[in-house]
Amino acid sequence: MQRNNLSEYLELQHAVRTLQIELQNEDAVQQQMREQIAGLHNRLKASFAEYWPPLRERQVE
Amino acid sequence: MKVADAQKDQTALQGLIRIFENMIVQAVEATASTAFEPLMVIDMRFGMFAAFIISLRADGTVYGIPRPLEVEEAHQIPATRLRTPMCAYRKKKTQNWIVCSEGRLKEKVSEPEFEVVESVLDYGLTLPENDRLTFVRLWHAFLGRLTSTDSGQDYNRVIFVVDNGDVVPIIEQSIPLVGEKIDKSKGDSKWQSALVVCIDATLDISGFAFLNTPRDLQVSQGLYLLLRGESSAVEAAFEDSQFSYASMQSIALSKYHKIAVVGIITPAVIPQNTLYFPNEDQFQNACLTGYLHWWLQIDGRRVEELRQRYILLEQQLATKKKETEGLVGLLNRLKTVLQHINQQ
Repeated sequence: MQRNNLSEYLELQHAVRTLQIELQNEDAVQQQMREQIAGLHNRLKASFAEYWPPLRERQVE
Repeated sequence: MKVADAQKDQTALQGLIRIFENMIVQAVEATASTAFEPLMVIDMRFGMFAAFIISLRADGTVYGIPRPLEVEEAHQIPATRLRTPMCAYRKKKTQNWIVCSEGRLKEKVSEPEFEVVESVLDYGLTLPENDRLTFVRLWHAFLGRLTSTDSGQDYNRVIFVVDNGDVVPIIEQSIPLVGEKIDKSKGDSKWQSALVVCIDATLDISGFAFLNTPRDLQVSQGLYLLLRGESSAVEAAFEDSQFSYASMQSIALSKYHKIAVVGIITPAVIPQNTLYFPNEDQFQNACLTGYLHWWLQIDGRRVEELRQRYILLEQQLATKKKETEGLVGLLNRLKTVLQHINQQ
């Protein structure tokens, strides 16, 4: 009974460690994507600034 | 009686003795194998590093064999230590840490091109979440030194013992990365499946010195007496897997299952139910080995706690994956919008 508990504990521990690594990997992927999104967002803002005049000028017109 | 008859009897007696001896050995082995597998213990309590193998004597009692660590002493002299502070240094902008003594560390502190670490685990706690690799390298420098003379044949499991719960996660997270580097096995490393045991400084484990054979662990309750100095008598009561302690004013020796004596006198004959520890160090070792031995009899509560942790992590991972899906969607939409704008 005790030995079964220990083997179950070791299996669970291994599973927990695997999940921890998956979580770390997912964090790394998200970090990369957030950086890409920030870059695209900046490019988008720059494109808007190029195609449309600033809001203040449009209000004056 | 004729001489030939006497020789026959003698031979028969020797045969019987051999059979009897064999039976005893088998009985001891059977007892031992149901509850004990040799362990490599890395004890990192009190800011020190010590390693030893816990194994079994033929009589079923547990004992520890020290596993020394080679460190760099002052003036770059290599030395082997059974217990050493967890110091290390490296040349700045390099990756290789060198495990060293306090003396060597003091020499390196004044040299600006070197980075020094007084306590590996404390340093690990100061590192940001995304810089686990630095700790892994530092950690590997320590454990690698230990296993340079280690074939890994004399133990089945590895246990790390710490006295600060904060360092448990960093050790657990680094084990998968360090483990396979140490024994160079893929997927089935003893180090990767290592257990981390936290013995808080407030936890009194002195009673566990009594649980020093596999048979002792089969008991569910026991009453023990600890004599640890000329005027100190402590009663250790073991019940429901827990110890409780009480100071004794008057002692009735007959009511105790076992009595432990720590270094007061050297008894000429040690009574059968008495454990004698010549000094405090040997007693502390017995406490730790007994505690670890008991700890390995994992109870249902600990399994349940770990299962809850697993469920929580599973939920966190599911949430994180949904977040990632959302981010993928956002990224694709932004790319599409930008493509449209660029085409116009």
